[in-house]
Amino acid sequence: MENRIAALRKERRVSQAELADAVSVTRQTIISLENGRYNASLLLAHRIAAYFGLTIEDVFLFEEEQT
Amino acid sequence: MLIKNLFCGPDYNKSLRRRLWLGAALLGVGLVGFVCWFLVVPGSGLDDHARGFYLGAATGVTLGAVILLARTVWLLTHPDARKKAQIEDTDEREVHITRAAAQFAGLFTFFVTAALLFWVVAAPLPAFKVLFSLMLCYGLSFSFARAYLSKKL
Repeated sequence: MENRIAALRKERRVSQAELADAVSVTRQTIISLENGRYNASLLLAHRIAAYFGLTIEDVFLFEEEQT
Repeated sequence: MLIKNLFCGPDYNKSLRRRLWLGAALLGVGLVGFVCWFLVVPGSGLDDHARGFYLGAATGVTLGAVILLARTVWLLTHPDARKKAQIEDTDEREVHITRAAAQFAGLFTFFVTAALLFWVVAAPLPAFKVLFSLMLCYGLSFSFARAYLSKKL
């Protein structure tokens, strides 16, 4: 599952630490999400999407949508 | 690590208060160990190895309990430290890593124990029984946990 977290963060000039603090995870988790090494739970995906004011589908790209 | 996983719920303050109770209980176990070492062990005729176990276990459990209590009290009285600890303790990636590591360690231990049975079968019977009991304990606890979680989730 790919995501647009890094792009959205850079677009809005938000640091990894700020995003991590806002969604109550460690900075390492944000790094792993951005690198695609870890897939967020539904709850975390919802929190991140809400932080950017978007829907989960706008931030996280599921495999069915990529094909 | 185990305590963080077992005593970490949605209400972090409640989880910390439960850790205080756990720390107090562990401190009690450690102190009972010391009492046994001072009062019971000297006249028991146990060998040095058994005497050392009582002292070592009592010291280890007591030290662990004191560290757990001190850290928990510190977190309960320092909001900034508590917020940082809460994020570290509840971070879903960390929880996922810990559970995956525990799963791997459990399976690895199970298969190593199974392999050791072939070697220990030539050793005294108690060693074989202990290893076999460990495997049985793993199998039964896995079955019970799976049945319970299947109903609950």
